[in-house]
Amino acid sequence: MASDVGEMWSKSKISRVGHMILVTVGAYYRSFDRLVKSMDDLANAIEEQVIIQRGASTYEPLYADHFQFTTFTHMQELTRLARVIVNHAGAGSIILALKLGKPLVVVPRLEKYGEALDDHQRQIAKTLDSQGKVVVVMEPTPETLRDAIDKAILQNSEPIGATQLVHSIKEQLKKWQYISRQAR
Amino acid sequence: MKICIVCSHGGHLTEVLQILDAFEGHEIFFVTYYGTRETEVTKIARAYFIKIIGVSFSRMIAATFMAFRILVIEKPQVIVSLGAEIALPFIYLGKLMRIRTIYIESWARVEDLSLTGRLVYPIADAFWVQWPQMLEKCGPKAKFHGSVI
Repeated sequence: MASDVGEMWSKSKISRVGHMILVTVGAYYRSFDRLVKSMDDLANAIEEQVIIQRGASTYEPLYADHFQFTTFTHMQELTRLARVIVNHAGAGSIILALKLGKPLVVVPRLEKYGEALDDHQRQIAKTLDSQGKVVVVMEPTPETLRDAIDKAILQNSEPIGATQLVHSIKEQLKKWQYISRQAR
Repeated sequence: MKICIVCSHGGHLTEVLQILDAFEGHEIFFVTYYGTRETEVTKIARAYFIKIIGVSFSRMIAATFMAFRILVIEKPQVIVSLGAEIALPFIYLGKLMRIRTIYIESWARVEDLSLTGRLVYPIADAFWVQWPQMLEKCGPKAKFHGSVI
């Protein structure tokens, strides 16, 4: 799997950073053919390279480059190289894209299609969409995805980080450490 | 202090990795699932790997025995977890063994708690959520102190 990605890079048509759309469905054990197929159809209609991490999805793309799983480091590299990311709405995938400040389209996995155990992905997708940090697509088709990609690029925001939470954890640990010392 | 960081793989692990700076100056070790990110974790600190619990009762029992072993051997002062179900045996045993516990609900939960969150709420010493609108969905113990991103 990692070697597939390596081969892909050596025959890659990427001539500069930012000339590729990366699609990921995460390491989850359920398929997400709805997104994979629509992005593959879009790949057929556009010039830009599309790379799809299809995970457990059964549909095998015909037009986009694709692989199933790879290492986190490879995903990070591909994310860095991409112009725009299209993800399932998993927290891990979203964090990877937003941390690198990439325009992001998210498509929540839905329970009714057997893509997830429940609809919790909708929560983060709707919230970030209303904050202008991502563009959410509920029903992925080549048209809705292409429109969302264009919109995401226009509203692209700064990379973000965890300063407040890191600080709060440090404070909590200091407090407990102080209390333990006092108790001795 | 020695801090035990417990998390499942995938998105939960990614969330944990965003806040590692918080543990500067402390000794940390991980407990997480076998998966494709083992070398990434072991590059950062010592790690214990266990089999995915999922919804399997027998694997939860096995994990509880392993959690007990790990906590007895390591004797951490604090346990930190962002879920998922792997947090359960550690937070509960941690309480019994007088280890301080922080549970931080996943960034993915904006409207309601995960099952793990609901089960550890009564037990964890600190129970934090990553979205302010979550506070009204939990009891008074829940706090908002920022998010992993």
